[in-house]
Amino acid sequence: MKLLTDKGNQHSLKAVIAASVTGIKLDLKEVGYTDQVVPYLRKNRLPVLDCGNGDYIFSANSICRYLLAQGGLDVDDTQVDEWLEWEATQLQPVLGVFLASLYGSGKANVDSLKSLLTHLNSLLQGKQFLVGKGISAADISVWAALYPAQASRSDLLPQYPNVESWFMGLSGQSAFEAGVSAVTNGKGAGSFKASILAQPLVPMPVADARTAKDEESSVSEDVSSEEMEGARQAWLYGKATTPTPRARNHPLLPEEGQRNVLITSALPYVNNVPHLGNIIGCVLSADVFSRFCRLRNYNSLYICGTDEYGTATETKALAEGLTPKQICDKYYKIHHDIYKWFSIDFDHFGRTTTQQQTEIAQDIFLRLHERDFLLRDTVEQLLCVKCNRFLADRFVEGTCPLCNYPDARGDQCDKCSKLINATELKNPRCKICNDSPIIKTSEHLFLDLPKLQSRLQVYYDRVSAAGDWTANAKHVTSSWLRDGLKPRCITRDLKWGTPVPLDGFREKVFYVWFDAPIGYPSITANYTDQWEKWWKNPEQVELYNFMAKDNIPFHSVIFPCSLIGADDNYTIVNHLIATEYLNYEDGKFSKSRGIGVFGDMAKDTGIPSDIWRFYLLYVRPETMDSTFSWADLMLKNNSELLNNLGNFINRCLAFLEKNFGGVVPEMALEADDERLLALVTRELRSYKQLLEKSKIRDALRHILNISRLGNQHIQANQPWVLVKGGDKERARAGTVTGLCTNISCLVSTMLIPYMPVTSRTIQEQLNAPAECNVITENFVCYLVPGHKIGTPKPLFDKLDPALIDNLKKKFSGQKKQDNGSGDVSATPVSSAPVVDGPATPAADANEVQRLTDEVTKQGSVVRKLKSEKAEKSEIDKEVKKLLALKQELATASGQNPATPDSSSSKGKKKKGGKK
Amino acid sequence: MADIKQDLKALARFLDVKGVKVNVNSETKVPVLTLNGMTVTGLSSVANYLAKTAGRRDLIGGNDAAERAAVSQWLEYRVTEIDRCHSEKDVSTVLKELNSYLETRTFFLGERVTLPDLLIMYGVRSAVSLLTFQEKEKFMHLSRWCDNVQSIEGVLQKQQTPVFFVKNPLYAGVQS
Repeated sequence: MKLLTDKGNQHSLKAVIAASVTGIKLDLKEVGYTDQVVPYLRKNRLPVLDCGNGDYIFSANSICRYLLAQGGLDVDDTQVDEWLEWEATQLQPVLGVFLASLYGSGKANVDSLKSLLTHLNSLLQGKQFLVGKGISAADISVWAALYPAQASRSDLLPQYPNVESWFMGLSGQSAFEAGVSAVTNGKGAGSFKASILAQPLVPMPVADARTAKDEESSVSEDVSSEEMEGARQAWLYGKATTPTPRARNHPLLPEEGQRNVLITSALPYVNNVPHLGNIIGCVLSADVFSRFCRLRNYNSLYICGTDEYGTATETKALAEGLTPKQICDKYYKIHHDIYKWFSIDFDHFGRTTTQQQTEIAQDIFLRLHERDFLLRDTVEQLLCVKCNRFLADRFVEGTCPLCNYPDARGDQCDKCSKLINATELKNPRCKICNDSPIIKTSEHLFLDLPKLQSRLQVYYDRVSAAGDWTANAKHVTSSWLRDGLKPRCITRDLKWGTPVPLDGFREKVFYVWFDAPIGYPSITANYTDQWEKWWKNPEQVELYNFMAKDNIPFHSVIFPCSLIGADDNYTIVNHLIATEYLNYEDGKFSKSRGIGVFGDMAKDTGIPSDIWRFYLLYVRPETMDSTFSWADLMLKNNSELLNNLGNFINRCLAFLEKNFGGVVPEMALEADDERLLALVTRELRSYKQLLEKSKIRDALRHILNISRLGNQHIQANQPWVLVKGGDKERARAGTVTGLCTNISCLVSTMLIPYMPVTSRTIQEQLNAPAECNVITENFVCYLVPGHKIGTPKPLFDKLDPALIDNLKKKFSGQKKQDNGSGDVSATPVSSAPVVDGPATPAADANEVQRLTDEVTKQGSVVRKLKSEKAEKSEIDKEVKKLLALKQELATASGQNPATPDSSSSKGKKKKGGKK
Repeated sequence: MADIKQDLKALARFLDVKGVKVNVNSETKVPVLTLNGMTVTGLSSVANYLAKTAGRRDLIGGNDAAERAAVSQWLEYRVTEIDRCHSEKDVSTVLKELNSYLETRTFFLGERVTLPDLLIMYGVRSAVSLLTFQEKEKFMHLSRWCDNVQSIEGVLQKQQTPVFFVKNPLYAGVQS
């Protein structure tokens, strides 16, 4: 066996002596402290025993015991365990420091070892060995630990006579002498120096009980006296210099001298019921920021609405036997109600199907046309005469031109996976009516992005440096620019859309991706006819766009190019905040398979909207994808909301009511209180700083830190004991309680962007004045002595594991939803649909019917061939066809996940496969 | 990082040893066990003692000297490394080491659950539960091991919620 050790390492004595005692041959191999000896260890620990079979033992005590055991000399006694543990965990931390000092500077404080050696001394009373009647690993280990100290400071042990005699008794034994000789190379105590100075120190026990919560808020608890004084001044006198909340009168318009902030959230597509991922990605994130802007007294306007044009709506209308407008009306209301339930406080929530949309979109279009930023080109498209519509790629099927697979889709062949154009298909057929479409050329208009690229680049360089752009937004935009922009088609042969106001194109409409972002100004125009003060005013207005990452290029490249080309002083995006994807439990949201929580179902769970808001914001996918987990929701509710936030506020207010009649008493601040004020101020400032940059998830944690600090302050002062004391104690209890009541008030303000309903409840319980709803750098005392609060009541309910289990099962896809709008991948909602996006119910129902018919037909064909005993190759061919059809049928009826077809219309890769 | 008293009581319950009293010195963090008139001092000593009392020598390496050495080494690691993390950086180092070690092992001693699996899992649980999903994926082997151990019947007491792990990789190129 090999012992890997540096020269003169006193811990190696433990191994060498043990080997010597048992007569086991131990080879010493010299290694350096910087050599990686044990592959998985990040800190080097020496000596290490190489057992030879790939295993290493890096604990000196364990090596010692192992070698004794190999020689049949290990004692299986709990006392040996205890001594070894004492040596490693109690003796070494102190001894290590002592030795480092001793061998380093030559000076060391022997008193530091006093209690340890006293303990050792008392237990060695009348004993020759630490355990039992013979040498054990305990003796070897403790002896070896003390050896370098004793060898350098002969005056160390005499004060501890029992220790001394035990020590000397062992020193005389041959094994011990042999050990010393091997490790020091006969060169005496000095040879330990290099190793001792290189050895890492065993850490001391952690002084305070650090729970998981402390780990999280490991803010340095030291505050400077300047901070304390500053906090005290702000607390006492801040109210006079803190502004009161600004009045907001609609219609809100930019004002001179104010910070005018225009906030948009990506327009949800009207046809899809939003799921939690859509909600956190867009409207909820923007809502937090919008509410924060109001708390900062910025002049902000929050605009959003449903995006209503496009193929999907048209198709759904046909299926449901309604007009597209009726479909939009129906679904607009659904969206509107869901967001209302989630307390999303839009300043205006509109829709894209308005007169203003048509006017503004056509105006921009014509200006682009006048300035030569449009190109004409003909495009070949498949027209189904029977249905009288141009077929989008996903409505066409045929024979693959490359491999002859008979069921290739309009944009990609399932068999050979090559991308194709629908017009290249042999024997194409319309998926809806099965008729053969004809190829018609159609002229379309393209936005000349290459011509606008340089101007966009100048703009982008400026705003991405000056504004807040999330990393993903910058990456995507940079790569689009780097790859070189290509012209993009902005017209379509459809009926439901904004009509193109140009001769030769008047039967066409704008492609939804061109037209949808124009919804932002048009919805504003529906809010106020002075919309241009927001939208044609880049000098005075800052524009924030909130969205999920799939929408980035449309907001950072295409829409800005449209506006730049229109040359009308449009306000263009300054700050682009894009989230990553929210996953659901172990996978993705899917309406068709009933997996995941969709907007209209959240209410039915009985869990209040503020809890949903809190959790979604807590796990907001900012720099990376995140997951919605029921178990985690329960945990965060019960720990952070109930036990931390709710507990703090409720116990404080209840205590104030019970002991002080609900009236805030006089508060005489002591140093400890000022320290608390300073710490709270730190958290408040971090919160403010983070929310200014839309780091919504991180800012939330600071609110929780503050309530934690409040809880700790109460625990430390124990006002329930103080109130039973004399006047001085009672007064102290009053200060603590009053202070915490004010902290509750601060928390209620900070909570407004996240949990508005709860915040209102807290403020009612506090009877808080409206003026407290501002966020500044300072923590100000608003609830002054004499202020009477309202009635305290618990704020949150515990979420029961049984309930959560039930809900998790309910949303895990056991039931099939037959009116689903196809599999939605984790993609949060786009501001406009992908034209060739997920299959709509109409296609599905027809599809299933058609395929069922085909399967039946093909089944008969096969049966007939078999009964006629036809050629095997012929039968095989038809059987293959039958199996393929059956597969398709299963796919269309939602039993096997289908790869959603062409969002590759944009040439983008779809995220991940199905699980 | 961990609650020593709770961990030892959980261990006692797992081993079905009754009548256990544990006190922890708040300064030195040393636990003392009292059971049937016997006192044992120190986390790893107590753990060993409980295993022996419950007749579960298989958890402490049986008669195999190499296994017993490994058990004692890792229990020592729990006390000197895991329980003595003073900063986030220390925690991170510990998690990285454990993750590396567990890359090629199902449990600490290979294929069988032993005391180190229990005590180290108790020890790192709270730190692991605070990891983001991406970090859990980075420490893939640690996460796998942690999930395995916490799923063993009787390991987690009723009031302890298991740490949540997503079983499907969400991130590309994250594992170290």
